[in-house]
Amino acid sequence: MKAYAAGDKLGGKGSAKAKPVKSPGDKIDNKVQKTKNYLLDKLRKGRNAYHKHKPSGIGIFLIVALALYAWDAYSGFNTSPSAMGVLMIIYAAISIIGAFLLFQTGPSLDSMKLFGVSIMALLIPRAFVYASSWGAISPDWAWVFGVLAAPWFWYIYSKEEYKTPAIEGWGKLIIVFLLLVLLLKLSDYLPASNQIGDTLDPKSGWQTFKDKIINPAEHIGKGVSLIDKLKTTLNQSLNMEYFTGQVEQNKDEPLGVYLEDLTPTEPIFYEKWPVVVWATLSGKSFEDIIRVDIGCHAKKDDLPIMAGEVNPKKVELFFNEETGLQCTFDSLPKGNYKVVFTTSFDFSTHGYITYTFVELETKRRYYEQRISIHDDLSIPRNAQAIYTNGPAAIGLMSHALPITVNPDGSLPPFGLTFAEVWQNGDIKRINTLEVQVPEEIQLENCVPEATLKADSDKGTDVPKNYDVYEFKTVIGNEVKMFTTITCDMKISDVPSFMNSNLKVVKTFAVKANYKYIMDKSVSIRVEDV
Amino acid sequence: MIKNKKYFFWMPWILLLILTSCGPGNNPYLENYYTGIKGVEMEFIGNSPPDEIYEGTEFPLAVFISNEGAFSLNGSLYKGTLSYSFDPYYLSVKSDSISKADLVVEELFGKSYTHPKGGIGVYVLPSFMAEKIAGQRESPDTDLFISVCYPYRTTLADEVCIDTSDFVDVREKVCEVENKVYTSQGAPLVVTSVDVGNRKDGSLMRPSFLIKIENKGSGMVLAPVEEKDLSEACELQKESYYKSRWNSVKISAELSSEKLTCIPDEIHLRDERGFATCFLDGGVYGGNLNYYSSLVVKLDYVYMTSISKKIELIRSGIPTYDYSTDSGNCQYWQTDVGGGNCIDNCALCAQGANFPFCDIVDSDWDCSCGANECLSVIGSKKIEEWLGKQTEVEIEFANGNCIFGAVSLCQPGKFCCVKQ
Repeated sequence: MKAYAAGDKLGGKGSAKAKPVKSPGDKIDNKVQKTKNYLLDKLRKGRNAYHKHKPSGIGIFLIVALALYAWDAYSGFNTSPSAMGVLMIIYAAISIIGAFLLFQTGPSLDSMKLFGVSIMALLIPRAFVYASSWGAISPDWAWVFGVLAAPWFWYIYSKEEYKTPAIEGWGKLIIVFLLLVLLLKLSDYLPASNQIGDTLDPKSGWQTFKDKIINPAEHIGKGVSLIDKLKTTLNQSLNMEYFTGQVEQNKDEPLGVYLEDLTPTEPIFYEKWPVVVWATLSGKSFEDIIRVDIGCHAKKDDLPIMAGEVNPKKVELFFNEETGLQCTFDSLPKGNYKVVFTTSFDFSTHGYITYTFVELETKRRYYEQRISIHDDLSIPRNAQAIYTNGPAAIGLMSHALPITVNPDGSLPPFGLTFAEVWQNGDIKRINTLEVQVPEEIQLENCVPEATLKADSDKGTDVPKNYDVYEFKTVIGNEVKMFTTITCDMKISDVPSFMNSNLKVVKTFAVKANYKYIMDKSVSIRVEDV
Repeated sequence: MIKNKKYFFWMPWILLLILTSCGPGNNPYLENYYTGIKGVEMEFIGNSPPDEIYEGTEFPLAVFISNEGAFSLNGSLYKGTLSYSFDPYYLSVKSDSISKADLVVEELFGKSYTHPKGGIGVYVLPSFMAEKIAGQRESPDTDLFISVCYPYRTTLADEVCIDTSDFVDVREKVCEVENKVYTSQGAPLVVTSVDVGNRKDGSLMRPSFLIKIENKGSGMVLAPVEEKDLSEACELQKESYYKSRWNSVKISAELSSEKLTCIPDEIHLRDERGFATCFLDGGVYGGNLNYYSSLVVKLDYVYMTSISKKIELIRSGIPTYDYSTDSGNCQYWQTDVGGGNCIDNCALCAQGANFPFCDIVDSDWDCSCGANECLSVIGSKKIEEWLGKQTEVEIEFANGNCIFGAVSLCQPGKFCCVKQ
């Protein structure tokens, strides 16, 4: 289509080519149009060139972005304004670096996307943290979701134009890592012998993660590692007698003794100078004072070489207390060491299981009517063993409820498993292992042998009308993994046991007192003066 | 005209209001109290027992009992008995707080025109005590289970048509035979249907009824008892003779005051249902009779309903300890050999003790080695020199004559080794 200026003579003679006459307005329009075309062309070229070229610095960029994200996760996706302000500046900086230096996109739509991903990396994990504060999800799930979101990773990994062989390979590893994080969290829901007792703050998410995966040996019982659960599963699959239970969740601090915050007083020590390491010892018990003996020594190449002077040497922890510890070495030769705090204390773990008993005839009458005895008599389907928090676990044999009371008084067997659960210590010696049983029920043919305690020796914490069976043969034993005890159960007088009740509810309790030795170490470096 | 239209619109509604406001529905004499499937019902009163209770404290237990059926517990023969069960590990009864007589539900009227809402009563059961929580458990929970057992009766009274004609009668019939279906009679056990029929007896016809019953209540039917034993109907239930007869109901029926023979006279319920056939065995019966007659069916049984509540026990606070007594425990590398005498595990093993870790200790070993004795220095440098001269040296640990590792045989800094 041709454009004719005003004044052209259509079909006239004279000049063969008519020159268009431009008005000043047309000139401006054309300039604007040209500039626009130029810029669009530039952008198009830039983008095409960019898409054809796989940026060489993308791998480095991804590492930087992921490191920043990992640090953010480590600090629990801090939502304080100051922390978010700092992160915002850093994310803006890496977006600019990414856009201009690494990706070389300059001011383009893609560079805008980079800024968008940075904003997502900042906001998405915090959205989960806020969701947890509103009760929509648990705090530890918020942390896990935040880690899984990793916007920078997913953005770069999903863009074909950014995919290099290195990104492809490392990306798969990162996906495996993220799946591991998810599996670890899901493992909390495994039907294992124990459950995590305390809910986690997102800020402690990294700590928990570190405890469970990176250094399970340092994890001291505030949760139970995947290794423990696998160990339990393995034992069960080997058909070894292993009874399980569920740890009681304490409302505040969990029961037990904890060595934490091992801190050298200097980043680097020097020869002939004293070496001082601090630690915090905390403990909680409902039952008795925890008397803790403390020692410390230095290890080199995993072998102890020198005892330190620890202060205090003995601590009594009442109910729920904590105290500071100090380990001092007059001097240590140049080298790398581990300073190990060792604590030794007697601790008790209790296990409980409540059985509901119903006479055979009563049970028949219910089945005959197809009435649910569980609903009608408020009886749970299975007996659930519960044990208290601490270095050990007590599992008890579960039975489908109600337990049938036969006219001859025979009952299904009773069994318990005493197992070590904490990873950074050892049960050195079982001091006592007792089972409290309602006096109408007798334990017989126990393996190992049980002794019925005399009334005078029962102790004050045993309820009225309860007998105490003591397993003397296990006393003094060191528990490497677990020890299992089984007994036959029998009711001596069924009518008086049932009385006129439709159901009889009885709790069995197990008390294990043991000496536990726990250590925790911190690395120090000693250099020349 | 418009005004008239409005008048006609409102008139029926106003009439309906007037008619229903003083109608027979509010007349207690005309109310049918023989409806509903409830008998004696229970519920816990308010906060007794509470949802949470501190250990070592006493708490009351009270239940509200109402007779929502149509049969009255008269307090003499017909009376209920309360019972309770609990886990003695967590709860105990204050034995002096109640007698056995306090657990008897004496007089509790059923619904009638004199007691349109049925009888109600508040029963204060024994005070309970939450035991001190033994061991390390923080907040266990436990169930408190209450049940009430009571003898009860379901009564069905209805008019039935009897027709004993076994041939075509040209005369006009008084009534047509029809089977009856019922939903409730103001009791947990319900007569659900009555099928009216005849049994041929020679030339005569006996009126016969197939009576079906069902337990529609929320509880359990126990064993029926003889009338002379009614006052102890619930106590007898624990005897094996009675227990084997649980889910049984005694049935009796009358037709125009003539007692019917029921087979069986004690129905054993299966899947909460049962039936019996009742027929006229004596009195007047014959052929070609067609009349209305009143049928009364009575079911006598002992019934039991239960309620339960979960109570959470809470630790009341920090425990009390006697600080004056030290445990006298040995150190973790030692063992108490009696009388508070602590000996190093290494020395004990050397003396022949049978600890699991003693396998690696020989008889001539003790804790006499320090780090110096356990180290051998490559390059002929003694550790003292090394410490003194700050010389960089390689060291290695000798495993042959010292025991290192997790087994605690000696105090820190000392190692179990061949006597030096």
